[in-house]
Amino acid sequence: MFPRPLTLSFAVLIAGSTLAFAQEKITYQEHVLPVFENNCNKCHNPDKKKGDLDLTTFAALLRGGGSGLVVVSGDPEASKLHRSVNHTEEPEMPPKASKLPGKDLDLIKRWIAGGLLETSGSKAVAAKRPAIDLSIGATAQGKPDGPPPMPLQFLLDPVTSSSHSTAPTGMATSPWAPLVAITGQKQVLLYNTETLELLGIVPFSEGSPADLKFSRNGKLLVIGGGVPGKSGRVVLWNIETSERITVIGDEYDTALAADLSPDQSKVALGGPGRLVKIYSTKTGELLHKIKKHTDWVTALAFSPDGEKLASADRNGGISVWDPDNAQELFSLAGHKSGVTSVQWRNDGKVLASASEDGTAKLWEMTEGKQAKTWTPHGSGVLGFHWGMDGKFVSCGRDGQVAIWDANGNKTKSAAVTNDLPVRAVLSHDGQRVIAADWKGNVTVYSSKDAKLLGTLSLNPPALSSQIASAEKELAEAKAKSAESAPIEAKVARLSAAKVYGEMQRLRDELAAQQAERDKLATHDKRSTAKLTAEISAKEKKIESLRSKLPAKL
Amino acid sequence: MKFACLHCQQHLEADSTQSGLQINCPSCGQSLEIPGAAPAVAQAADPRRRSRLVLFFGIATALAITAALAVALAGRPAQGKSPTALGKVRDNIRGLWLGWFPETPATLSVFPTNVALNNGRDWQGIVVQAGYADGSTRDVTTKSKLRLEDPKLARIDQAALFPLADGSSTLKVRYAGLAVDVPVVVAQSTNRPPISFIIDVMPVLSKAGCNSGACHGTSRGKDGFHLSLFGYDPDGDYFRLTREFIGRRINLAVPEESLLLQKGAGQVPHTGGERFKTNSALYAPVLAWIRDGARKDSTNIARTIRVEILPQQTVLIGAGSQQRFSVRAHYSDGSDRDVTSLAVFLSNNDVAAKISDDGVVTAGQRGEAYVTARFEEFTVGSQVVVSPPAAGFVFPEIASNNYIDDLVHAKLKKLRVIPSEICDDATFIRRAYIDIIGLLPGADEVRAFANSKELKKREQLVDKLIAREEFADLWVMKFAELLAIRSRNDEVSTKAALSYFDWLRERMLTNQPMDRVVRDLLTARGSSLTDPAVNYYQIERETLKISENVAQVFMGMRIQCAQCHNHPFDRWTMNDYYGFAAFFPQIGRKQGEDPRETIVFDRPDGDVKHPVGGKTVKPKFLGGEVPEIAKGESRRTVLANWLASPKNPFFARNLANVVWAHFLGRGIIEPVDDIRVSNPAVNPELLDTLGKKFTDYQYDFRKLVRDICLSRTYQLSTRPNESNVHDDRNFARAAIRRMRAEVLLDSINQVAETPDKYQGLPRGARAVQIADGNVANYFLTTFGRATRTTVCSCEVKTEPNLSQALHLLNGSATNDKLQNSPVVKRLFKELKEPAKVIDELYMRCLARNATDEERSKLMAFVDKAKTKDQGLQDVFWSLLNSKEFLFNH
Repeated sequence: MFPRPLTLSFAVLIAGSTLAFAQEKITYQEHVLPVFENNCNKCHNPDKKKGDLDLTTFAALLRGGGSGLVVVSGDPEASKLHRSVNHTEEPEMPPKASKLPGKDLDLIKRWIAGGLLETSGSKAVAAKRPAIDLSIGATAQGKPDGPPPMPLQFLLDPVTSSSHSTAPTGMATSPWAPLVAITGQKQVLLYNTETLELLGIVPFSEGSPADLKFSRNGKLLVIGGGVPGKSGRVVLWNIETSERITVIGDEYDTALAADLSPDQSKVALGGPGRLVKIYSTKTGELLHKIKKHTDWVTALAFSPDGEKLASADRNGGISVWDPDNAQELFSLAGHKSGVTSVQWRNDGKVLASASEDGTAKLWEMTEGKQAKTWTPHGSGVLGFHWGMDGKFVSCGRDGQVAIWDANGNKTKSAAVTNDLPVRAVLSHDGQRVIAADWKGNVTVYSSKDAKLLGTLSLNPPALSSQIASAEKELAEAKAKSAESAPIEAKVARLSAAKVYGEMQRLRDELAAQQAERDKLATHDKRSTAKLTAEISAKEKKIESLRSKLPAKL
Repeated sequence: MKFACLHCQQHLEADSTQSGLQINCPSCGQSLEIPGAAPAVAQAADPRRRSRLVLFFGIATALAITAALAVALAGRPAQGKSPTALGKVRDNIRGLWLGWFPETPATLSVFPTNVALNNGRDWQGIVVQAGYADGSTRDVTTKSKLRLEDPKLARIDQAALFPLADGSSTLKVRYAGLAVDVPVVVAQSTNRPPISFIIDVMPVLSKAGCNSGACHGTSRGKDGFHLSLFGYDPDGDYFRLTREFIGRRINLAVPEESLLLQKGAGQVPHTGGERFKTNSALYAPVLAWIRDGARKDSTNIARTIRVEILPQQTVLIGAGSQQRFSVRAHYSDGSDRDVTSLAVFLSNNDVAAKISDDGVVTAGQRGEAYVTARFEEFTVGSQVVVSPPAAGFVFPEIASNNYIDDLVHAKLKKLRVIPSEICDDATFIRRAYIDIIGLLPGADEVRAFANSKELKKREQLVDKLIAREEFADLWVMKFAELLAIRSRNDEVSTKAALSYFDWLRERMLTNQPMDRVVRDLLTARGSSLTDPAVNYYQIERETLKISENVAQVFMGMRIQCAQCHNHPFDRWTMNDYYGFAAFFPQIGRKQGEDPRETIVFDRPDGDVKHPVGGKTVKPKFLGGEVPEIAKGESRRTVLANWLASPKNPFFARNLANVVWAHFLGRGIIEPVDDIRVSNPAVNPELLDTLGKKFTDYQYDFRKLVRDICLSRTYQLSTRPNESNVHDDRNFARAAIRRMRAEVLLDSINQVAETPDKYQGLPRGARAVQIADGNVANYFLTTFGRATRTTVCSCEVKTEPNLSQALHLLNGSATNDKLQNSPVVKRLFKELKEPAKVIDELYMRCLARNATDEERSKLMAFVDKAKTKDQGLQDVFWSLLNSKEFLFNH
């Protein structure tokens, strides 16, 4: 099947040189297969298939054997294959014989650690992430117990600082807390909708965040985005601890739309690829790939009970799916132009959609029929949000931001800034409207009387200058002997955020060093020792920082 | 001229006219410049040399003269005649210089002729072109010395000026002892105006090809991103770039990460690939515009009103020689701008002259090319001639019959092409008969003409033929094609078509001036039966199509492209298109009493709307102004009075070109109804003069035909010489043309004496006289007569095909006709001898006697035949099938 003598000689050559070049790619075809052929394949071939395991081809190996997967990408210790050949687990392999030569064992280990490359041209098999169980069982549709989830610890140093802001594409409010998330540049900004304070910066190194959603319980932030034209990902972020939980998807263009199922077991995403993809949050695996939309997927939303998934595209098409089996439940035809938003009513019985054709529509969800249509902004609806209290807010190409009651009657309408309003959302209690325009000016105003309450910046200054100006403010207040307690609190909060940021940075470094140490452990004792020392120093430092932090900022 | 490679000492040879060219050594591959001519040798070969003193003076003298010239010219402007003694001395020295050293240019031109730097961001490139006595030109930009008198005002970098401070000065350009002064004005040098979307960004979308038809310019866009084709809709493009898909294409916060730039620069996967580099002149303005907030232009920004490409005349000698071009846009606020880097360049003949993206033409094979630059909606062009190096070329002294020959020869001289000889009398009479009246000359006429000793016999023949009724018939047919006279089921009854044709014929017969005929057509009102000209508006009833047809037939313009987008290869914009169409929306039609009758009248209202923006468009002459039209005045009348008048520069030129193409087999602009910037006249001076003459003749057709037929150019032989064998565009020899279908059929009927019967005409009438394009005739259809379904000149086809050959060999056209033809029988009876009959048949068909060889071979054939009659009949058949018969030559 393979030009054996040649690959063998290559293998020897490369194996001999690996010590010198630790970065050398170890591949199945060139390095590992010859080891199997010499030692294992007499039994683990397609004909005998001992233990239901076949090691003669890459695909068969990945399928694993009778007791499940034998390799875990990037994690030799978790791989049964590694443990068996190292005789740390039964059955020891090869059976009734001594271990393989150290150099072969090393090859196998490094091959697993290096991401299970098949050939030198292959991409590493996506690491099966540590199993995270986000599942919250039976979906609680009402308000969760306990205090509404707000950031307890957070980062305030912006990833990107710029002189201008630009139109945000994603804006979402927590269903239970006074919290709004708005997309920025390689980051998402969290603001308190009542105090208008910056409550955190969520880094999104994957590119430009495009779509934002809060989980039903308000504890997680779902960020879809990527580099337009190049890559797309969905990131799940823990609001309270300000920690990244996982990254889902490996798309070829940005994730224009994303949502998390209410039970938190699935993430749906879509974009210019015209596909709707459903991933498992637990394993990161692709569960379903839905090919139906004829244009870019622009909006996605799981129903509150998690039994339906609505998806919409730039051509005006809307479909409703059963997310468990990707069967289409309804195809909702009616919009004549791109759909900009789909939203569910709290009881999941009605779906609302808004479109560039200027209309908004309500669809009842027992038979999938259009129940109502009205025209919020004749020249096109851009932003649309169905608030928790049943009101709608919308904005569109006519320059207006408007509020509608549950029946689609306008209660208020206003032009907020002098540029095109692109997104508008209602706060969790429906009291406030947060609207953003094309230049990235974000305004907050009262939904009752359209009174302007303040603005939010999409390009906050660096944390150091935030602290400096707060300290200056404090000094001025003290000089005037004015009330300084709130300012002091603010300075303390900013300082704590700085400590937290430093701690997070160290943790990231730590993780990287630990991974590096694992990689080097078997063959570079000296570096490993050095790393271990650095790691323990770092762990101490993190501990000391942690001790300085209050439980809640 | 011989010289050695600087690097490997390989002996090389080059023509002296190539001196100064950068070449790669064929031996070692290194770059070197061909040195200047070695004086003694190069001059001996030069026939224009005035003196043979050279050997005595040698190089030392040359050096002395150089010094003298330098002194004489130092610090003095070379433009204008200097009255001083020193100036005269200088001129004399220059004369001597030119005599001895043909490498010295005769003229030096600098483009542009004035430099205006209007703001701190402005710049202007300079092109210096040297002209030589033999008409050739050379790009000497890099070899010229450029010096600004006041160097504080502007910086000169790579032959371009960049502003430093406000003021006026003079740019001194010097090359080979010649000097040119260019006035320079720098204003607002500290003002750097913001980047404008329309002025700075839109041209990038065109230059980078983003809005081309294969990419985002296609009507549905690409991957959901649409741009207006070639940028006809800047407002729409602004919307689509900035606000159509929120947050996708433009990023104000991090401008470099705007998808527009990332895709264009190939930083993320892009189906269209990398369109520009991040360090290019295309990337920078887009980035600056986004940094500036991607603002929309105010409505009163300066707009481009005119674009020019310079130089206008380029004659390159030898493959590989180059000329750079400069494109300048003029704006409505009086400012101008160097847009060379933003213009889209095209050459209509890459083999002769290829043009690079940055506007540098490289000569290829001998020939001509027209290079065009497109900037915004403007397309401008410049002619490039490429001649082979031919130091010894001399254009012979050739007498001109009239102004036509002067102009044709002037062009041929530039191309180094010598025209063929004049054809013999027999060839001329046959050619003149076919072209002027669509018939063959009789045998006796040919003999009489050939034998005539009359000096002006060709002139007399032309005059005689022009006066004949058949002349009018031929042109009635041609115009019937352009007007697409053809009965149509509902709109045009047979009766209407016939009366329309008769109307036209009457005008031709009475030699009415063409401007009047056209005016009558365009302003026609009344009944389709009694006022036949109104059928012009029945044959085509759609407003837009009518205006397209008027432009194509009477002005030679195909403006169809501009219906949906600005014409990419011509000057016409959508505004022009709808402005012209706005003359025709008020045509009313109603049913007459007779069911076949329609009454055409002018309605008081009716408008044309622009598809971009939906505004009503005011009538505007194509390439002209917006006329004042009083309320109630017929728009068609206003148009007709302009169109068929000297105010319309295209009318006379177009008709002159149509006439020219009929007689020379090829238009000065070809095809004749496709005049556009990118398809220019091969001899613009000739076309202009013909147009002017036609106007001066009060649009009398016959006078123009006479001029053309009497020119030496028309009377040239088809036989090529060495220099013109590859040239079929510049009228250096007569074209060999297949007779068009109607004329061929008439000619067969004429020589065989077999009259045909066509529907609606008496037996014996000629095919040329068929009025209705709907009349069916297999022969005519096979031989490519116009179907008259469109006004396109391409309807008449003379390309050969298999059914034509088969039809002539076996079909009724020859076989049946020869069966019925009385000719052979009668001639045999009269002349008795088969050899004489053969000669007579030759004279009838080919306007010449058989050669001795032909005669003896044919006699042998006739002798072997069953009967002499039968044998001669076969000879006749062969003659009708011969190429010499089918073609006009």
